[in-house]
Amino acid sequence: MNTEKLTFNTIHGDFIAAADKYPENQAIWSESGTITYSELNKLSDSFANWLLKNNRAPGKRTAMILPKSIETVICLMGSLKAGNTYVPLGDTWPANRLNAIIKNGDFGLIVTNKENPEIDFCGCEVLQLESNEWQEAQQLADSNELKSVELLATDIAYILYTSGSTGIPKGVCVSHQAAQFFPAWAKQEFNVDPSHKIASIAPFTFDLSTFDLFTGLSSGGCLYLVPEKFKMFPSRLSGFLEKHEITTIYAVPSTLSLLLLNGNLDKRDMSHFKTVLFAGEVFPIAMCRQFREYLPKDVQYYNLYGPTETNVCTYFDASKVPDGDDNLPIGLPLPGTTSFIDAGPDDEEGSGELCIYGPTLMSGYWGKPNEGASYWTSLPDEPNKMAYRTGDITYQDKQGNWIYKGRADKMVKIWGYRVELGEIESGMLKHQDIEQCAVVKRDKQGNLGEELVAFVIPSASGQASGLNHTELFKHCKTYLPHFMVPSHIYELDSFPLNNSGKVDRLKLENTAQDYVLQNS
Amino acid sequence: MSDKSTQDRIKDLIVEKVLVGVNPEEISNDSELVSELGLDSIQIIGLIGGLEEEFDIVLEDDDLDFELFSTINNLAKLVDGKLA
Repeated sequence: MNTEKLTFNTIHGDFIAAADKYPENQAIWSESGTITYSELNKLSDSFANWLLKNNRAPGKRTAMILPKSIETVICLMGSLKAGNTYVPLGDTWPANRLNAIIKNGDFGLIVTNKENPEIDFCGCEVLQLESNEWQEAQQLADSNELKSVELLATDIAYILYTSGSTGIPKGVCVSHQAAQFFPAWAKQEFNVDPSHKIASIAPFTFDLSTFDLFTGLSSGGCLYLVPEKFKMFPSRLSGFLEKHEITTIYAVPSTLSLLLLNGNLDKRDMSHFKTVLFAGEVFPIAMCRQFREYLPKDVQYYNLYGPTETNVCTYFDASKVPDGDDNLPIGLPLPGTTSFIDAGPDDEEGSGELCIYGPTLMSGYWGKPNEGASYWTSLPDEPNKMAYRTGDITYQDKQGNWIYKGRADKMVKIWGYRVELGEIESGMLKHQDIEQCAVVKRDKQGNLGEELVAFVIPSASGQASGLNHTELFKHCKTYLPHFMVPSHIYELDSFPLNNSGKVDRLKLENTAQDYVLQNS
Repeated sequence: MSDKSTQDRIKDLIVEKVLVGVNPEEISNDSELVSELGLDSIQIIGLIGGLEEEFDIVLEDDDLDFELFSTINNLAKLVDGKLA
């Protein structure tokens, strides 16, 4: 007997329920218009009908190369309703990166508004927004063809691509059962209800957006899609938050720090705020303290933690900031989650690599066998259960809260995005003027997070013509998304080597940091 | 007073304070600051502060527009408008 069906909810089930309960509530505000719950439900039904009618569902993958918009949410919800996996791809990603993903993605359909000749759709069906087909896909709501598509708990709800160390992004596959757990938990834990106005900042390619989409749109509250042009200017962003009386935000700490330092918060009315959630990187505790001074006293703050592979798996209620200068803890595991350190303690704090087993865990990477993969490890007492090795070094305090210390590998975070330095290096080395390349991160001036800098040794052709930095930046942008492009490129004749004869990255990091100090 | 054009003064500012180490000759007045030169939010904020200081102007929220900040030419129009 298959009992799975009885005991799980789909990731979009609570949205459908909310649409029944609050049909006239505004679901989404965007710069180009608004949509109610009932309209969004109807149009996504229509898109689901269209997918099923045209044999592009169920059990297929719908990729979207779209800006954040109401149409994108219609596609995404419609795909889920038709039993497909939604796969958001960044509309600002370079064609080379998109092509590498499309080539191996086996997509049943790619929805886009781009007519970019550099994108190779590899023979996939493409649906252009604004086309006649799209119009048709918006007019099938009342046909009674939407047969209820039966889903299993293990069916994949979404695939999100993250940086891969070999140069090719990895697709993290998350089942319905795993995908719905965090949004449902968050709705209860943070009391998200129809009064909430959620500023949606993260792109849909980033797992922070699963809160906006699936907690927000299951609550009867409204999602405010923050226009791209405001993200660049903190004072415009704070003006946006004030104007729309935003109650809730889930952002990376870099965004909150910028709001604090350059958002003119002292001139803004932030009295409507209820909930501030952050994740993706460390929020310096001093910044966190200062940020709270501009918001009402009763606002709840949570530090959330989890790589895309586990979505949020630990949380810390930061409504009272602990004393001292230590990092905010990443906190306690979500209900049903087992968290432990792999390989015994390696120092007096008992720190080691954090491993996670629980309801939010991914199914695996797209196109890669799970068997024997190094990112899985078995539970200490239950060898047949596999936990995900996060690569994050942590230790536990006396209250059982996990504290983040650093990474076990070369991965870094920029704006909360995961960045594998190897992916950048392999992109840069494709340029004929570069012989060798090492990318390191350094702290920006003034505690404003980290940035990437590249050290390069020019090839013979690069030496002959001299390196053209603008051209190198351009080259990077044809292979890498903007947050992975180094902000500075330094030329060296040779790289420092460590005792084992490898490039001494620590030394390069120090050199890069010295350059910042010299400039300040 | 400087005899330099607004464009050149903005370029100097970018090279000296925002994109340190980049050869000014590699930046044109039409270079896209974000998509081509790769300025991020923090560098944009540095640029805003630098413009206010260099030209003794105050940039209001409405001036902070993605379009106006896209190239040196557009920035020069913004600044000249403020000075007029």
